Amino acid sequence: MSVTTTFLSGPSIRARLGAGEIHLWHLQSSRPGSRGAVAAVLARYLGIAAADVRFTRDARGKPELDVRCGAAPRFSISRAGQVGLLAVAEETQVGVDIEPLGRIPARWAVVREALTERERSVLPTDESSAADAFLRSWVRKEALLKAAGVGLSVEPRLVELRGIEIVAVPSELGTTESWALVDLTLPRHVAAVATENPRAVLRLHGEWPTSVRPRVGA
Amino acid sequence: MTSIPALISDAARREPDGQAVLGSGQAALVFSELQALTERTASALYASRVETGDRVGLVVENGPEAATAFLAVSAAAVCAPLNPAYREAELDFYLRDLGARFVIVSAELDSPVRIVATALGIRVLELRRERGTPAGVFALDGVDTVETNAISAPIPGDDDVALVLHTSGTTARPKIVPLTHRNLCLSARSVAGTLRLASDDRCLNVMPLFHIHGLVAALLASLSAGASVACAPGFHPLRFFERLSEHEPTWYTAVPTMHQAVLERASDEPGLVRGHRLRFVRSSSASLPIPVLEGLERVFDVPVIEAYGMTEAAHQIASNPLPPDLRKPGSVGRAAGPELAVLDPSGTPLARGEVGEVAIRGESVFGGYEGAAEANAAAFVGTWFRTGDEGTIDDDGYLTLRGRLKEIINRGGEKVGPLEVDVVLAEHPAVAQVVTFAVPDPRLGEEVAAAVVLRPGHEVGERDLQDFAVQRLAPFKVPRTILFVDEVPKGPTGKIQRRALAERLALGPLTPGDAAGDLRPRTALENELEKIWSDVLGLPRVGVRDDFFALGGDSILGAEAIARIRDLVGQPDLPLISIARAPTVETMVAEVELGGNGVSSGAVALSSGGSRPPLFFVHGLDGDVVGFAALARRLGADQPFYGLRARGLDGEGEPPDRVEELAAEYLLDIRRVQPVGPYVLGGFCMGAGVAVELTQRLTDAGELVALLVLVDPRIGSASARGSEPGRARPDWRQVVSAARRWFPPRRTEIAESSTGSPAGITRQIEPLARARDAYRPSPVDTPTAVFLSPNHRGGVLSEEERFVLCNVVMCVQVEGSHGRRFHVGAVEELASAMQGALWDLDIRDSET
Repeated sequence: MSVTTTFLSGPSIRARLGAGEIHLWHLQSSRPGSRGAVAAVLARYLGIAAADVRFTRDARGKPELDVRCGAAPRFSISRAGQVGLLAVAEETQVGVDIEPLGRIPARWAVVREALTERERSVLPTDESSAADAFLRSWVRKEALLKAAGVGLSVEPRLVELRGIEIVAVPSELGTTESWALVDLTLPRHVAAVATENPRAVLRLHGEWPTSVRPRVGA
Repeated sequence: MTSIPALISDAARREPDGQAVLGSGQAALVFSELQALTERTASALYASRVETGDRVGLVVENGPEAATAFLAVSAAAVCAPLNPAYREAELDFYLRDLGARFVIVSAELDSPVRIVATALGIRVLELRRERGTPAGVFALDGVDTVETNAISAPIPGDDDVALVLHTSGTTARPKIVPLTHRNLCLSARSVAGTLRLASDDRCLNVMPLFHIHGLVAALLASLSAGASVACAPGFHPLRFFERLSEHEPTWYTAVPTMHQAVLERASDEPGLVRGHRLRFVRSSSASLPIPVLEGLERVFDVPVIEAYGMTEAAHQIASNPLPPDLRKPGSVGRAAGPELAVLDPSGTPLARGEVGEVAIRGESVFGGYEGAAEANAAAFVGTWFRTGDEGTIDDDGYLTLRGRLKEIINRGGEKVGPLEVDVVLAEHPAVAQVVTFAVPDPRLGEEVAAAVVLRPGHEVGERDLQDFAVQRLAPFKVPRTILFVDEVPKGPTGKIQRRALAERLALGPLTPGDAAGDLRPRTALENELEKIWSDVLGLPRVGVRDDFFALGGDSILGAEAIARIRDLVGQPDLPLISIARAPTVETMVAEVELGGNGVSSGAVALSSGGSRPPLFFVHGLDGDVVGFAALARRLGADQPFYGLRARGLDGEGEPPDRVEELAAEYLLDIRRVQPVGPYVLGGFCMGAGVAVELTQRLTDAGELVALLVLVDPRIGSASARGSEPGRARPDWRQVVSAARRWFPPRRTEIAESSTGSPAGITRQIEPLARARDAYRPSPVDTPTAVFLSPNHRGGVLSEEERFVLCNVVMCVQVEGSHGRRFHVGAVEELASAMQGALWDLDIRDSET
């Protein structure tokens, strides 16, 4: 996936997804649970006022676009504390995940369970770096599984990665060639975006304060 | 006559053929027969070496035998009636605390008391009814067979203890209240006197007979006047009216929540009360909201007599009088038994109009708690017994209660009686129930808060209610916070405990990490799981019903929790999705216990606590039950809910494609959780057909299925022909891809999606769809409640379904679409409607 950085500023500018594009937005919100920020962004794609964006709630209460809003794009959200990421794509499946660094200690069981043996064998030896490396792996796998829409029914260790390269996936995800990943590094977080279109173009849109401005790549 | 046997023999002498005890569909028991029954039972007990002071536990379902057994046992020894719904732990506590030597249990009752009693070395006697005998007649098995004619039991003295009951301690350990024959008979006579009972009166008893209210006010008061009492199996809002016409009582006594239910039904259907013979209605045991009092008087056109009592007073303390004397709504009336006073903290009686602690003394008042010297020292001052209630007596001698002393809200030095605020808010037309209580406040110490249950269909805000209250109360009494709740949480005895409300409703000092007392882990497994929850979430502790994700968990923390649980229970194949299916400690216990080889199928506990009979609910076309979690939650914590999940969803083969095979598997799953009936079953879409098949099988096995709950059923061959003429059935692949396009399930989604992975749907749906299409059901006459989405086949049952379901007791359309039936936004209405059907199951008696 190739990545460009563009910044559309101003609240009323219409956004348009070009062919094969994925747009990534930073959600500005002091309350991570609010739908207002998501509505404000999606409204630009729908060409309607933010107040007219209708979400229906899925069973958990998470917002989904009401079909009456018209042909709606796909979107994926991930939040970590005050930082929120919203990925928007036209027809392509897309997934995004973000985690703050230093959250999970390397000795936690999930580090063993979510990684394959090979992935574990290449973890750094010192605890702190190992923990960060694990989180990097986690957000890549999460983004992929979110894009595939499989929920918690697929174990993360069924996906094998070598860096950003997808080495093996379970049958629910089709083939390794069908997916692409890109890493994002933020000042205090790691994130990843996954898409089923390997030739997608990732554009960063909107405002990205210095504290959250991402660098592409690990 | 101040002993129970004397009371009965007196009535028998005056009117030997007068009716004493009635039951449903049985001949009435007359006084002479009642006397004979108590005498021969007392003899049999005496012959079995029951001595006068011995405690005899009584575990009998509510009804005529509970009444007659109490009378008979008290004629020989000390009767200790126990709630027939008690489980092992409670029975063990009470039987030990009472020092019981014998226990009488109803032969038909399935109760752990036999096991508990045997373990404690307590002798068990079985109470047996025989067909064709009058109401209340029984025989005891297990008594020593001696010539009972030759032995007559010694007659108890007036000051011998007849009855022991435990107080429903709110914070402290329950204490034993011993009541003598004199206490009980004097109190009974007070009730009879207040109500001017005569031999042509008949009381309909709907109160439990293991608390003082029913025993004294309904049973003993009636018998003391030579009047009769019709013993219902308990209170049921619909059956109440059937009993009203069957027995034609001249009065009944009940607690305010029952009166409220009666009023609601009678207001909806005035025909229900036509032809009643009531001459008054009595209320006691809790404060009766004025609108309910007035409503009842309107509906029945008779006076409603509110009375006040407590166990320690052998029930009646005060009562409003019958006309022509004055009834004062909001007051509990004048002294009507013991002497009544209001004391200051030092124990000095206060003048009329002053507020203090209500105190009583007299021959109907007990002599002190058993084995509780400290409590007695605190409760008795001079000859007075302190009730713990705050109140005031007016110039006419009428007592008005302000609330339990311990529940008075101390707002920066100003005292607010919660009852007073309740009364005011209850007058608002949108309010169905209100409980005022204290919440901690950093500045004032305590502040006033209220929990409100609104009437269905009514909308009102905190502000509106506060404005309403401020016009009727001093400003400092107006609740600062008003919480709207679906139901007021009650304590274990069914009484509302104001002190604990702040914690239960998560106000005040409670942070998500503080667990309320009864939500602490109860078993070793729960304890270990609680540690995992709190450790992973970074909280000091969690309650067993706290939702992992609501406490801040996300997918990575969920994966960590599952990793630790796998380790803990030695199940490396425990699916990751279990944390979504079972996000609480309580439900995870069920998950791991059923896990076995890691394939989670069978009966999945989506809500495992509660005292109602469990609802077993069969999956729809996707085979899964995670989608029902939202429904399970909204049916309330008292309703256990098990989803029956198809095999083969986790990639281990396919589910069977015949309803009969599905039912055979689920039957085992159900029996593992609940070995005997009566059963409550249900299902969604094709699951409804499976539920019908399960009903057939259980019925054939001799079990009772009490209720079938079907949501958007698709039963039988009609479904194969499609819903509307001329419309082709959609190709399932089209349906699935449409779903994927709009509603991609998220990675971090939790237990409430009604679809599994897209791959899962395409693979699993086909066998289940084939099963549905091939099924040819036979008719079932189990009471059935049907709930239909308007867009599901036009919101009606098919002709074949109407043929198969012979006994549809409820069939309603519920707003919402079939495809999102269990999602937030649509599930709430469905849950409400289903509760209506489930509530109609008469399983539980209300308590005093």
